[in-house]
Amino acid sequence: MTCLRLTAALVGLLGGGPALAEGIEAAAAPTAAQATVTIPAGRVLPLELAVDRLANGLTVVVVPVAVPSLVAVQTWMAVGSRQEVVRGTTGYAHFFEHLMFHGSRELPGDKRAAMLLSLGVDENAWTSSDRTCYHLQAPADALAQLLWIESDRFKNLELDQLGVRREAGAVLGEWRRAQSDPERALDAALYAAAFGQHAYNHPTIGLESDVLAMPDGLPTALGFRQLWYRPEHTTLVIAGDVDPAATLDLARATYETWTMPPVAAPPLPVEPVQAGQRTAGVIWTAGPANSWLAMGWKVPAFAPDTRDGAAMRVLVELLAGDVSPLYRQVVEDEQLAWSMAAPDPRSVDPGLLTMRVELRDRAAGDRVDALIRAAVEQIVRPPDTDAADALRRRVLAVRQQLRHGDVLELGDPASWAATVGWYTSFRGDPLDFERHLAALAAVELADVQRFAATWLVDSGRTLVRLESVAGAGQ
Amino acid sequence: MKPPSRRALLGGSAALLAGCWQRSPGPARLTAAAAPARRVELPTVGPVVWLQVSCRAGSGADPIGAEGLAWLAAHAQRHGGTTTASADAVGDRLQAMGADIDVLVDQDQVSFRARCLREDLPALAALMGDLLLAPALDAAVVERLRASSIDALRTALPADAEALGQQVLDSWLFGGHPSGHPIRGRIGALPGLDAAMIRAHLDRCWLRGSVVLGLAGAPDDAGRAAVAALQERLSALPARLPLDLGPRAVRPVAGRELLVVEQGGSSTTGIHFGHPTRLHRAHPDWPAMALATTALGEHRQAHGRLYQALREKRGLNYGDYAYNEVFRQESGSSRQEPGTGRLQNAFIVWLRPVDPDNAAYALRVAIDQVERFVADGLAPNEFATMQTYLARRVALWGADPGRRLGWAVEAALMEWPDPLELLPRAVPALTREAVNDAVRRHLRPDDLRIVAVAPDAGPLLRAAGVDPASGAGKALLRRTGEESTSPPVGAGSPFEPEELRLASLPLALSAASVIPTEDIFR
Repeated sequence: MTCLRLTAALVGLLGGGPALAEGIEAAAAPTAAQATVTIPAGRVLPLELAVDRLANGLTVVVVPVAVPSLVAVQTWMAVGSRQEVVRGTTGYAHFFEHLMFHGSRELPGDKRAAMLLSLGVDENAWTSSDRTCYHLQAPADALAQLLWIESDRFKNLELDQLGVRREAGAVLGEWRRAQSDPERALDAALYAAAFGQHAYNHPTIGLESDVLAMPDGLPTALGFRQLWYRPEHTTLVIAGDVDPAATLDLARATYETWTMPPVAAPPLPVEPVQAGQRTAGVIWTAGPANSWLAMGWKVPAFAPDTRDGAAMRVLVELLAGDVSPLYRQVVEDEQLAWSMAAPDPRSVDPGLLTMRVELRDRAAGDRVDALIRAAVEQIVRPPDTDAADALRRRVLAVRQQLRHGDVLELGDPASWAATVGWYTSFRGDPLDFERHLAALAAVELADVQRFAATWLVDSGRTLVRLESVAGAGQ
Repeated sequence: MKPPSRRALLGGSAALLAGCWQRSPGPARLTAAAAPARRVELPTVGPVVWLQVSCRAGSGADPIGAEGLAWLAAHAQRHGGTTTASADAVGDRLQAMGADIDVLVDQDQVSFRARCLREDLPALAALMGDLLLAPALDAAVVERLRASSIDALRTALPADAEALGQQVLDSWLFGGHPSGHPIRGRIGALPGLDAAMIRAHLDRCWLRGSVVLGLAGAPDDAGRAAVAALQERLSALPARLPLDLGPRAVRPVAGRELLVVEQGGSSTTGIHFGHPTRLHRAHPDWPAMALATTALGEHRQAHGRLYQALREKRGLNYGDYAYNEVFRQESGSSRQEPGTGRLQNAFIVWLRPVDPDNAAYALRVAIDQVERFVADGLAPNEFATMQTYLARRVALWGADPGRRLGWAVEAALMEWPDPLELLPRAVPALTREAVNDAVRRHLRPDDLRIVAVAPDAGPLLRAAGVDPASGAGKALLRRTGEESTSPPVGAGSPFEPEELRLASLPLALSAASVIPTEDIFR
């Protein structure tokens, strides 16, 4: 096992104390693990992290991680349902993710799966509105084979009608499963009302008519691939017990032959500025459900190195985190709701800062809405000096919470790859993770207030209520 | 008899387990119960440390008429403040560390798990001790948690057809047994639970011999001292004998019984079926059966026989899997959550929702797969592939130090082998004959309880040769004797002879009944 002597350098970064000059040294390992990991003062990512942009536009990042004998390989595509701009293609980013498991002529799906089985690989994939991620984790001795297997399906994917038809059935099953979740229906209604032009207006799983038409979707799938599944939209992240330089060479040799003819991709529509509050309603008929209230404010696209990006995260936690005054009042004190959540609002394009509240009683919706508005007002304009001081202290606490929390997420190689992959897929630079942590450390109350005053306004807000025909369970 | 070891050995552990959990005390057991609280430690590197305290009493310790007490107690410990800090103050302290303490309540164990940066370990360890050993059990918090359990059973569970099907099967297989009620409890029992009952429950269950403390990381001296202090506090718990929470006899299933839960708003049919087994993690056949169900249908993986027969062949649904125990997935991965192992287990097959018109066909295909698995066993190539795969795959279960710690703590708590140590050793030593023998010993495809959650029971019942108009509620419905099932609709290509054969296979039900979701878990 590789040993680390971690100094106070990292502690200094996170605790706000003085950063020390010395870094971390890796002791030689008695096992096969060869990863060398040095954490310089003021950083979380190791010094030995290696990055390269290949001639075909693909970005490779290699992150040595002191977890013995395991490796994670993740392919992050800057492709999601936001690219579904052609009529009839909703759900195709997700559908194509499924089709990527069908392999190539040389390595068809079943043979590919058999090879991965023999290596003991854990693999899966997911698609969101902004990204698609293919993730594998395995014993580190499988790395070379993993890269070859993975690159093959990106370079040489081959689809046929029968395979497309079968996979469409599986996707339909997944779509049907999603229809039984009231929270998904709430989310879909919120985004459909908030976005008129941008493809955030439909769920990643797709609209029913398009999902039902997928059995005949081979031409559409091939077209989607040509437009978007290209090396210049791809970040390959390898994290674990690896030698960065050697791994970079291996990745380069494996992936540099992936080329695609030039293509003119359709422009992605820009959502016009919202000029007034919007509302929508969902009548839930698929069984018992509590009443829900959801709202979203239009916010700018996330940029990892900006004060605004950090301020947005701090604002969300300040407003609706588990220890926020609003949460305590709504869920604990007045018991108006079973839950209140504000998911991560960071998106590639201008998106939504949302809140979802599961009400204990449908009549509580107006009261909750009023409390949320009041909480926003109290952040933007605290009533007195004491309130402002308290808010300032809370900003410091939330900054620390978020920064510590981001570091605590880094456990197995897969979690390292996921964090690095997510940040790298914005601008091609894994150090954007560090920049964002630094931006969090610098956020002041004034930044949060300015963001809230600019963006959490009625003219940019969309409100949705969900009511169940059956009501809550009796 | 020596005090329970941290890592129970295969074979010996079954006897140890049986010996520890019988009512009649002996001097050795009293000695074991009086020993200091056990501690498991895993060295790792880096700035993050993981802390866990687990107690050997879960929802199976709920008294009759107080179902849901264990869940309520554990969450009241976590969220109800301490005798020196309000719930809000606890939240603020955790926020400052960027940390959280999560609670996992299962049938036979309760776990409190946390991670933090190394410099925060002294504060976290102290807080953990206060929450678990000096809880305030704030009345308002208890009431809120109790109400949330009632809502979860009334609204959330019936709304989630797949979770509902799993829970209904679990309750049906172990009816009358502590395994037989949902972990959240019963709607009828919950209103009667209060802080006094919680305190009595904690006094009864939190015993020196019933807890294990776990630490993973590279703590500094202050952290070490804090964890040692926590261990001392746990060692001050009463040295009474642990509760008699061992496995109890379960009435075996005879024939194939179908229960259809009618969920009017649903547009799909989801199916779970299975039967109780004698298997548990210390059973000599556990490694063999782990390999067997990996081949039959590993969770969320595509290589299983069931997945290939149903999803890959015809795209009938999103996935099909098989298990030797109730599988609770850890968040953010497709792996099993450590801390959910049980003494009493079942063989379970899960068919994800299908078009209602295809439900009868899907059920036939799945049962056929199990029958063939028992009759023919694994083929040589299949066995070799699964053996290599599983032996290597286990390494991933412990890829995260917190999860690795979870497996180790559970093994110490339940006194069975740590799978992360056992399987890499035992799986390569298996033979195909041994696995196929174990399959024949433990799987009984002729004796199944089948739960289908469907919008309308009629189609499935008629296809199974049962007259849906012949009874109501839980009454046995009359067999018509004429089963009829079509090959799957929407298949998109001509049916193969094999599919026509599968469609004609008899389900041969011995009993059938229907129940609406409103009547569940009252």
